[in-house]
Amino acid sequence: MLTKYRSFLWLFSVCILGAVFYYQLNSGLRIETNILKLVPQTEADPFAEKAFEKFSDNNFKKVIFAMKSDNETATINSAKALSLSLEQSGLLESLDSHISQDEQEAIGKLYFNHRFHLLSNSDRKTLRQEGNQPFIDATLQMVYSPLSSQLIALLPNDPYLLSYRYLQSVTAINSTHSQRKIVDDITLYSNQSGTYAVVTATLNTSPFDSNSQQKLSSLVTEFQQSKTETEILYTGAIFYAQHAAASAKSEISTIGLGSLIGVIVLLIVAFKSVTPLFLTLTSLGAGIFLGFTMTHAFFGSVHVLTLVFGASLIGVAVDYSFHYFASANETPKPLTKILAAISLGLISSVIGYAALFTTPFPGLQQMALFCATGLIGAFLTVTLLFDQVPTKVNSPNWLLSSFMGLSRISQKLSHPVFLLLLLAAPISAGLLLTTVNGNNDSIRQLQAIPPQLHQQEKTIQQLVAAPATNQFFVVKGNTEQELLNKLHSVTPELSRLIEQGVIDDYTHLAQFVPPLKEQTSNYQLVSNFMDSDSLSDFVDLGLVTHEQLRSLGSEFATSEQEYLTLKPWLQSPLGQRLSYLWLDQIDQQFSSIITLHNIHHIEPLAKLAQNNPNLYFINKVDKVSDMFSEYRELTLIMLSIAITAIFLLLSIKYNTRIAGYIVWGPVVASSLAIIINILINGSFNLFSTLALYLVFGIGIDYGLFYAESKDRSKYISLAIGLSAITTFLSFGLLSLSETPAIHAFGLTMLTGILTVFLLSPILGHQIYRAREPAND
Amino acid sequence: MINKLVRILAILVIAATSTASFSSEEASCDIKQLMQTIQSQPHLQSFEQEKNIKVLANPLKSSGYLLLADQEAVVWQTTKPIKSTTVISPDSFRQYNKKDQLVNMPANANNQTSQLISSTFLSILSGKIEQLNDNFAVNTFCTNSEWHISLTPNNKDILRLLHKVDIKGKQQINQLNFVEANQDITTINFTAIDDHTTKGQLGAFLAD
Repeated sequence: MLTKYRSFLWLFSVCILGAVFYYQLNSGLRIETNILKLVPQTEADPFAEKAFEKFSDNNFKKVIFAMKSDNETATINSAKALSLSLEQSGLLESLDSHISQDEQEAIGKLYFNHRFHLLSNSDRKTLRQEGNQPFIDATLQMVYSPLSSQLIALLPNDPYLLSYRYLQSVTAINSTHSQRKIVDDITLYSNQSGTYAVVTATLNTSPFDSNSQQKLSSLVTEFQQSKTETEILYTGAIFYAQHAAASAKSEISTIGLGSLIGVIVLLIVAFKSVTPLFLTLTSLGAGIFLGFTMTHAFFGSVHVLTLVFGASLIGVAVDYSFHYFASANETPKPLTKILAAISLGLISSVIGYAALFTTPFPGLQQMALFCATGLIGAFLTVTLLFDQVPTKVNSPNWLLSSFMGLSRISQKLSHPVFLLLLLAAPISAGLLLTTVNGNNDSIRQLQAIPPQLHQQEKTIQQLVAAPATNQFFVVKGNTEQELLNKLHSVTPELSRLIEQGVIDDYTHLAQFVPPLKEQTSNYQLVSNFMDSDSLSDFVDLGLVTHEQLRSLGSEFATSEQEYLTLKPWLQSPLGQRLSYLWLDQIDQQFSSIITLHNIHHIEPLAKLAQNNPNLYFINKVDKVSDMFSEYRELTLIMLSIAITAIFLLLSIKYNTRIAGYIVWGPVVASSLAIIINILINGSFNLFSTLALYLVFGIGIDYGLFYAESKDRSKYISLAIGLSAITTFLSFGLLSLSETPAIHAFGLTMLTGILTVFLLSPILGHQIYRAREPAND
Repeated sequence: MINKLVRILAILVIAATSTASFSSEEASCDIKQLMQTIQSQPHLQSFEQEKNIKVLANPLKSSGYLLLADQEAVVWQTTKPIKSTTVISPDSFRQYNKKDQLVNMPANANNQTSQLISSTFLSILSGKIEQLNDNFAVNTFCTNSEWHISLTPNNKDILRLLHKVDIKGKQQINQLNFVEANQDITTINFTAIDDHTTKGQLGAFLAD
């Protein structure tokens, strides 16, 4: 193709890409930050997925504080001070631990108004089996106890104290905690390390809002400074999000900037000219631009972690430039010299990414598409644009001699016995992989979790027996009543789980608002004991007058339809505090969750849901972890298939021996990376597996440059050396990251690229030797 | 009326336990000595209780027995007009019906009002008024014939239920007087008795 047309073609392609990007920009660029969007749906039913999303959106806004001082009074005062500053901060939607006098009255009034329809399970059983006598006895026992005269005033309207009894049973739900008490409106929990006051609240913004993170953090710091004698523990998504944001920010600024400066300095030093720097940055920019635009066009959004991982393509894309400029040292037309090598390099990398793209994992697919298209962009820039700009390159001799020195040492090591000894690496890696457990494939790998915050969360969870946020049941119904009926019907099975020690407790809406069917049957049961004969004891003892009895009878008769329904309950202060149980409508279905407290065994819960069509068991973290393990295995298999395909391709192009030497470098490097990862981290996870793709891509490139060079050129060592150094700078530093996934990724790249860099000249000599007889 | 009832209901639901604060008084009427007197009072006593409730035309009268078990537990048995038994110890509160069967009262009762009754009652009857220090102001007053101890709550939760407690005695507690927040008054008079049958019968509840 004529040279001038090539640059037009490049410019034309960039313009088209620009137009596509402009269109995307106008219709709204979407950068996804939710980690859950990166993983495949774990639930077969989209309903369950949506239910989980709705619940976690609610749950993300919760914060819990627990504090302890030298004595109970000081603890209570600290809790009051914190509650006050939280309320005044403007951060809260509601302060959930505090129930005001008015709110308590509202709850009491709601249940009092429906007292004839509400019976606790045990009261219903007693009334059915033993009649009203136990209720009369209990009432009289209370009446004649020394401090109960306040209840006596209730008797004319509620002689069996049904409202009092039901309210007691409702407030007992989730407060079976024997060490819980309320003093001065502050809830106190005791455990072996002392008595803690607990303050819970719901934020009015997303936990990812950086302003709220900042405000809450300074509020807590100020509190700690003003109450030095108070130990304060806290938990909530906002604290984790704040830590993740802060650590990502510092990592991006230190690691990112450091590596960029390194690459720029290296380019200037190695080629003594700014043109290579300018062109290389253009090629990388075009690659990232194409990668981003294509990924956004294909998926409708780009995940922020795709960008982080996807940016790793710089490490591969920059190789094309290095080879171009290294060759430019010895020839005025470097492109013709390197075209075959970089084309084969591109094809092998694209084969690897294509394999990754076939996995049904949105995150992996995005990364694969981003990297493959990005590489194509960088490749096209090198081939279409670079030779349009006259470049005079003169690499310094000291640099060349250093790399040549390395090449000479490699030549000595390049002995078949040594290469055979390297077999130990893949064998050991294989053995280690079969023995190591897969527990590290957790979604938590995607977030930096400071141990201190995690410990505080555990302490608070144990203290207040908070419901599990990642494991729960979801129930749906066509109507609110159908939903309540289903919840009610599953209660015996849930109680059995408590008896079996599977869970400590559970909570669902039907415990607070029984279904109408149940309320009707309660009313009918109570009606058997509302006549004057049944209530004569109260009259005889002077507790209720005849007139009061008559008015009670007429009130009872007129209240037959006074059912307690979901809507007023949800609006009550109690309903507002338990609103997370209610998911409203999802796909035209009323939905609600059953929270589980202190789960001891998971399997019986999953089994219960399997046998009960009304129940969905959501177990997100475990399912994602299982899936990560599954994909780790899948990506390793895909990688093996890709290596085999590349090997076959290279065998056709060269011969099996040369193909073997090209592939052997990355195989040994990957094996060493696996071994080092397992030795340092105790495991090899999905994210390390992803890094292996890059190790392979880059490793194959190195081998190809040797295979494609006509003679033993010192400039190949220069190109490979520079490429390896930039890769270290770009990714090796990632191994210092606090986020486990990025750390694992960086460590794999560091060990993999270092090995492949040291091995490639050794294997390069073998490639030369293998080729020489053929050339002769 | 309903609103008032509802308020009462709410108060009962949130009432929580507390322990008291203590401000001593005249040296001539030393609280520590009074405590020792109470601690050495006879273990078995009979009581007559009268509750004057504003909403009721007539007072509610009841009677029964009280067994103090080494200042650690109290068995309070009402025999008239209906038999019922309550066992209070620092860590438990059990109620038995007229057939001496354990009553499972509303589950939360244990955490709320009854804990208040139990801790206050146990502390008064077993002479451990120091334990009430945090939540009550304690005043003493003595005459030649008897002593008086008056407890005024200074805790918001207790004040919702209880206005004042007066204790009168000589060799033992002779009278307890509770004035509740709504001005209802409960008066309990105690008399020491020595009846092995009753003692054995009440003691059996402690073994449960």
